[in-house]
Amino acid sequence: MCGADEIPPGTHKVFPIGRHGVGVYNVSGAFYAIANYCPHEGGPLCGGRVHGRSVVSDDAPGGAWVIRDGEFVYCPWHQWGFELATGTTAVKPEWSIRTYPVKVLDHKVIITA
Amino acid sequence: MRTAVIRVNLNPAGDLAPTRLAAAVQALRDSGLEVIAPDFEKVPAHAREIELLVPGADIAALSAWARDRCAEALGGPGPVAGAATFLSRGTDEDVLGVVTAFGLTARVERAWSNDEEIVTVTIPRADARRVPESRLHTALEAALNAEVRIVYA
Repeated sequence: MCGADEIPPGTHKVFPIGRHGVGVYNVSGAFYAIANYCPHEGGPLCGGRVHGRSVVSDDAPGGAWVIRDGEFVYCPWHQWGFELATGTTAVKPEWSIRTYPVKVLDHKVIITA
Repeated sequence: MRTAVIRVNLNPAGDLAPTRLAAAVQALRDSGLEVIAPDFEKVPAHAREIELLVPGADIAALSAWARDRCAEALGGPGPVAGAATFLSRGTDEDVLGVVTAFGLTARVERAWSNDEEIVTVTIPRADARRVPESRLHTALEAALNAEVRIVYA
């Protein structure tokens, strides 16, 4: 799809694959590819922010920790969050966003269907 | 076969050292399992959750199996299985899995038109009123990243 150095850690690129496109994310050197479509109401998922997951904790400022920062994408329409590695959320187990295996060969990012 | 994502809290009591949890994760990986795990130093003690990616569809059986494998790797009981989800690679099994999660049955047919894949999902007419079509449609398009046409028969 592109050179690995074109997607530095913490960034992503969207490619015209399938009906809605596919976002390829670099999470601390690991690449993930996920369909650019939110199963909630069809929002452009990859236009959303990348963040961690909140975990309730009485001993944290504000009552919550943010863990695994950078491993989740949040749809810009209604903030539904999905794990980039799996395309799923424990909140709605019936939702599974299509993900694609990604390889880096000779510094090139390759997505397989 | 579908791939399940089984979440397991390795140490709900929060009384084990992060290094011991990391060693258990490494033991699971060394046994050939695909494991997603956080940096245990950076998560609260009660949220030491990992995910095991395992082939299969029987959530109850896979959750029990995953819990036991984690207990074995940790050297004692304590792990608790949590919510389970499924990866989607856009296969017919994934389509049927999504449909089943909505409590429906379906028949799946694929076709190509102008280099675009069209997936027709046929639902029994008697089930049409049970689930809003738009909910099912967005879930299926997300799982497939392809055009989905729902028909009732």
